[in-house]
Order: sequence, then structure tokens, then C-alpha cells
Amino acid sequence: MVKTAIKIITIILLALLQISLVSALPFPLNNILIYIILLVIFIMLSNIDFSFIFLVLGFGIVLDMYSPYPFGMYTLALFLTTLSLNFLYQKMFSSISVISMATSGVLCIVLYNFYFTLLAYFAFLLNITSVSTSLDIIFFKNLFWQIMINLLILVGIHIIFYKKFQSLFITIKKENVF
Amino acid sequence: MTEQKGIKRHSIIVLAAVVLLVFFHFIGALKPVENLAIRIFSPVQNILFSTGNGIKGFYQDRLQRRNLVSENEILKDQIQKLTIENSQLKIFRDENDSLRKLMGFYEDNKLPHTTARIIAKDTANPNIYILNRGTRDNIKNGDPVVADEGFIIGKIISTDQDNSKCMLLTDNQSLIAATIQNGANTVGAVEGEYGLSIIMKYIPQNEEVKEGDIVITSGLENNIPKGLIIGHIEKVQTSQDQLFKEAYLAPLVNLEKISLVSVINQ
Repeated sequence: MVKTAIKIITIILLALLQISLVSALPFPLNNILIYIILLVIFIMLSNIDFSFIFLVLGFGIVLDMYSPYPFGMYTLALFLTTLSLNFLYQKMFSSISVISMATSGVLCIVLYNFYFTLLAYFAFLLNITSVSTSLDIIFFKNLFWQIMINLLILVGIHIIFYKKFQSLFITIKKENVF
Repeated sequence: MTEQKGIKRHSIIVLAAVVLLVFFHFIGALKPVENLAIRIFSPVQNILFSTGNGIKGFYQDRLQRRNLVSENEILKDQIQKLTIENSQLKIFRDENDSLRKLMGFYEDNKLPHTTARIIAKDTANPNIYILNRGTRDNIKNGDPVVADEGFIIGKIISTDQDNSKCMLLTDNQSLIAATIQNGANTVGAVEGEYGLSIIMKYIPQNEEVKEGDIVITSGLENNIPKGLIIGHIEKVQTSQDQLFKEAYLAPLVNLEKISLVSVINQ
């Protein structure tokens, strides 16, 4: 019970960090996506157990509460990204190398932006919201920096925690990671 | 096989939870919980956003020479004060006292307003600021958001009980009716461009417009009073084969540095 409460509070704090702290940082640091980094790490470590997907639910809800887009958009985009990345990871990678982590990171960011933009576009078309996204040069510039910054962080985490990842990857079976 | 079942089971549970939450949100059942959560999170967000701004400020200061920066700030303050004074004198000269209800605004520059703090920016669109005041403080969609006593920076686009979202004038989807203080009070529309600049469009070709002219809100929109300063004209773009000319505006407020704003809620 206490463990669950700590997990929930951690998710909320990380989401608030994303919304309030990261968004205020100078460019390009404001392109850090905490939830994407966590997603990639958990998918690589938990490719047998999928219960970490509840992380997606928690993060998404907090992001949706502060979003001008229709409620549920962030959660749905994260959910679809998680499913897609997990599927691709199962088919493409069998190890926890830096290459697979970097590729997963890039795929995750591209998929997330794709799903979010698609959902935002349909919501605007259906007149559910008056706020839309546009695929202009600013969008692609932000996407580029999102990939660069988050890739750097993922590779850094991989290098620092490589031995820990190896042991977790080998020993984890049915145990819940999250 | 067991793996697939596990993934399927968890995915279905999460998807069902998302659908239920969206449903409860749209019927309003989730509102009290959301409002309570936002009220609880607000102090934490104030601290986090201030910390982020502090880090950004420190980083920016290190890149600039301190003497030039402070001298620049002093000169900008003086320009802002003189611009406000100049703009107010022009409005006084142009208005008819006995026919206008809004003379109170011009005489003592007071409008009902609510002060709010910026606590976050939207993750997907950094031109949308999240404020810590909402419908509980009489804020509604379309209300103008101003900084530094009369510089309009954006409009409210959505509200909740304890927070609201402000879209900056520099956003592509921002549109506001404006007047140029050029003697002829030329009317046009001000739009944002890619989060970087503001452009005034639909200026008739025969109107005299020059660099330095001040652009204010025209008062033609419901919630937005006349006289809020948008910016000054930086560059005028004319083309003989076009019906209208365009003017690029420079805002008089640094949108990256503000953390405290006012929402005019008439």
C-alpha cells in the first residue's frame, strides 16, 4: 500500500517537473521529455512484464489536466506510443545495448509526436478544440532537438548504469518492475 | 503466449481506464477532483517554474555583459513609461467625453482585473502559458492578458476553476483587432507568426503608416477594451499588386521573462 502510494506520488512529481520546471528551462533543455525517457527504460527492462503501462496512465492524466487540448489526448498518445514501441522492441531487439536504447529512443519520440499530432488534428477537424498543431518549420525544429537532447540523456544513462541494466535484464522474470 | 496475454490484459485495463476518465471528465464528474489536485499542485508548480526561470535567467546573464544588460533594462523601462504616457495622451485627445462609457479607463486607467502568476507552459505548444487563476476569479475565455500596466500579451483560450490557459499574441492562431495611432487611427488585424513575431495585416494601401507608430487594441472585440498596447511598428511591407500592406510589430515586453500578469475581466 505504502509502496503504491510512493509510486503514485513519484509519477505526479515527475509530471509536475515536466510541466513546470522543464518548460521554463532555456532552449534546448526545454525539449527534455521525462516521460519518454522513462518509457524507453521501462520497455527495455520490462519486456516480459507490461504492468509499467500504468505509469503511462498516471503521467498522461496529470499532463491532460494542464493541457489546452481535449482531455485524454496526452494519455492516449502515450498509450499508443507504448504499445507501438513495445511491439517494435519485441520484434527488433533482443539485447539492452546502447544501439537498441538509442534506436528505441528515436522511435519513441517520433511515434509520440506522430500520434499526438494526429489526435490534435482530428480533434480540431471535429471541432472538439479550437487549438491545433501545424507541421511547420518550428515543429520539425522542436522534433530535432527533442531527439538530440533525449537521445543524449538516454545514452548517458545507459553508459552510467550499464552494469545495473545488464543484471536487471538477466534476472527479471515475472517480477514487476513498476 | 503468457506474455501476449499479459500485454493484452494490461492494455485493455489501461484503455478502459482512459475511456472512463475521458467520459467522466466530459460529463463533469471529474472536475472536483481535478480542481482539488490543481489547487494542491499549484504551490509546488510555483516553486518549480520559478526555479526553471531562475536557471534560465542565470544562464542568460552569463552570456551577456552585465553592464550592457542593466543599461539596456533602464532604457527599456524609460521607453515603456514614455510610450504609455504618449499613448494615453493621444487617446485623450481623440475621444468624446459625454458619449463613451469607457472614459473611466482613460481617466484613471483602472479596469477590473485579476492578477495571476504563470505556473507552466504547455508541453506541446510553448506559446500557451498556464496561469494559476480561473473561473473562481471571474476569468473567462476571450479575456485579455496584460503585463506591465497595459501591454497586452495574449488572450485566455480555456479556463478551469483554478487555472486558465493564455495563448500569446505571437502564436500562429492568435488574432486580435488593432488600431494604429497614426492620426488616422488605421484599423487592421494583428496575427502571430510561429511564436516569434507579430504582424499586422489588412492595412489599406492608402493609409500612412511608419516605423515607430504605436499599435493598440481597437476595442472591437467583446472582452478586450480599447487602448491596450500591442507593440510598435518595426517594419512596413508594401507591395503595389496587393490590396493591403503589412507591418511587423515589436512587442514592448520580453515574453520570456514575465511571471506575473493581469487578466482584465470586465
